Amino acid sequence: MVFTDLKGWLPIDAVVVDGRPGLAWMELDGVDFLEPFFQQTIDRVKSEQPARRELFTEFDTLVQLEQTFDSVPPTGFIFHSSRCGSTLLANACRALTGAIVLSEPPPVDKLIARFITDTDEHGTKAKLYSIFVRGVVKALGQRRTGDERHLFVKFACCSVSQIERLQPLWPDVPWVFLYRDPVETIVSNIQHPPSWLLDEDRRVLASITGTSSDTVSAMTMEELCARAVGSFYSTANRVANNRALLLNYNQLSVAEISKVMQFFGVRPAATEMETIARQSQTYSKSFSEKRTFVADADAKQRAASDHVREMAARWANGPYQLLEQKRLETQTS
Amino acid sequence: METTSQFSNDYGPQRLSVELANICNLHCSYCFRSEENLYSQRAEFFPVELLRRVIDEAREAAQITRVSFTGGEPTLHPQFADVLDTVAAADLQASFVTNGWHFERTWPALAAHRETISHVAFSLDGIDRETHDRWRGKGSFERLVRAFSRCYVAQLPFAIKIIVRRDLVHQLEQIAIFAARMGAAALNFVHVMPTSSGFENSLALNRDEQRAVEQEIAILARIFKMKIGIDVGYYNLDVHRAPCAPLAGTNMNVDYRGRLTLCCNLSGFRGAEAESDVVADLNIESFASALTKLRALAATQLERRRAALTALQAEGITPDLYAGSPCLFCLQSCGKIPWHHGVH
Repeated sequence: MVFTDLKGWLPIDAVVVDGRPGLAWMELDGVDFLEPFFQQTIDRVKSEQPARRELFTEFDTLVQLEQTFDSVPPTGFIFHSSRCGSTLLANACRALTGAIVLSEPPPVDKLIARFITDTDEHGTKAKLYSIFVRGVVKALGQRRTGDERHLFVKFACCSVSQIERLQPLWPDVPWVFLYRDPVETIVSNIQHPPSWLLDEDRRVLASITGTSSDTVSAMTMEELCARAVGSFYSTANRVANNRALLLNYNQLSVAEISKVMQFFGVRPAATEMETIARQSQTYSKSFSEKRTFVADADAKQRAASDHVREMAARWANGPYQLLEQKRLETQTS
Repeated sequence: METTSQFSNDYGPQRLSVELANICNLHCSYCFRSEENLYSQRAEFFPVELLRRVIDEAREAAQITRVSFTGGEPTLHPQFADVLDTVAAADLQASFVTNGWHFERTWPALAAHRETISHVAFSLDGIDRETHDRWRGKGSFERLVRAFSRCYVAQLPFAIKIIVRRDLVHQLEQIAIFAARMGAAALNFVHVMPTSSGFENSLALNRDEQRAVEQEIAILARIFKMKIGIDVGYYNLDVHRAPCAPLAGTNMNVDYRGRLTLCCNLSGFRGAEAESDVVADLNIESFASALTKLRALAATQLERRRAALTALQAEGITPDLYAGSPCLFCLQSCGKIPWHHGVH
């Protein structure tokens, strides 16, 4: 296929076909990523317009196309420890005029996971996947109307474990790490288990928790979640630099979101801030269902079992406190 | 991880390899072609009439379907278009290896014979101007990239050949990315064919380094659609199968003087003291007769290699590169590298 044939197409997944890794592309001309998650948009498009074409290409195509993309350079990245307000922040970014917001796009996060699941002793694959991750972000950040000015990427929570591989790709791009009290985080994840906790391929969680796949399989979900979020806190604490902003869920407010925007180098207009304020009062993860957001920290604390508290105390509270300390020190300085 | 089987199964179609010229316009210090031939002697070009006869006879005797042209620099041949005409008239496919310097000048002939040309192979020495031009001269990289673009736009498949020098070992994935970005159909890595102990020490890899590189190349081959492999010289201890196209009888080399020789890598080797790889002068002998001699020499060389490797294995000795690499084994046993002594 000649590269011009892929105008209007975007990568929607990182897949392996006949043993060869590559990308699934979809014809997405005229489609905006309005939903809180990238995959929700893809699911909607597939459901509403099943005739839209899809195809597989090896990464050769991506590296060829990359030279031709007219893309918005990344404005800011959002990392998080799960269930901590990151979707709210991504939605706020989406309220900005000319913003492309990629919220946990599978082709990006799956490629990042390959840093863990597809390795070799020479580091060859890791170097390649780094290049491919950058290429996919560039592909997804293409200007499609010509008016796009900002590109925000919200990564899946597990991707923070590979942040040291990502930073060299975009050394100057500011990033925020959102996190929340470990007990509240664990309770939320146990009540509605996310796909990353249920993933049958345990290698990613084994790497994050510093254990083996068998050990992960033997853990209760409370322990697994506690160890994972504890690891996320530790990683963020270790790598946070002058391009990083640490943000606790309990700080989240319209004013704080405005500060995050400024940290990203964006000064929202009054109308944009109004939209952000309006959005922040609704449940962030559903696009169609406009549920009112209800602060639930107390409820989560009350719902925590003894096992949740024990696991949080053993695996997550320490790293959380250290991260909080760093945040407060940074704020003071 | 096994690497040898990855690279040794496919020797391509039955083909003739013809050195179109003895000269080259570039002066790459590591080149294994005789400096005297390249730069001091009178320029000699393969006669088109002889080419026509050799192709006809080789098609009959060896069922060739392709002719690949090497040199020197094949595009320096003053009748390059006639050369392509000859291949086209025989209804065969042609390919050639070039440094790309004269590609613009050659393009009209290529465009006129687009259906005849299966692919073009370009020699690359680095993925940026500075590195490539350090070996090949100022302006070389730019011309090469322009040639890549020419081919890509015209959908003429091209391969990139790159010698794995020591300074490139840590850039293998970058080389693959570069080749993919240029739109190459294939990326062929080539181990250094050392022409002196000095070059061997400074440029070539030792056995363990080579094996590590071969493993990395195997990884690249599994990720990219572009065909990636090692052309020559990889470490291979399999004594049951021919380790390369010439010894398998798939590729037959004719040097610029019209002589049938065992392999294009042995032909006119810089510093060689023997020519035991030359089997016949096709100016005065038929291809069929010469082919019989070539096959006998290949069989002898295969047996020599088998005996050497078997003996080493019987003694519990791990063969060194000069025994394990088919190219180095042939270079040594054919008297091409008199500066190297001792083999294990």
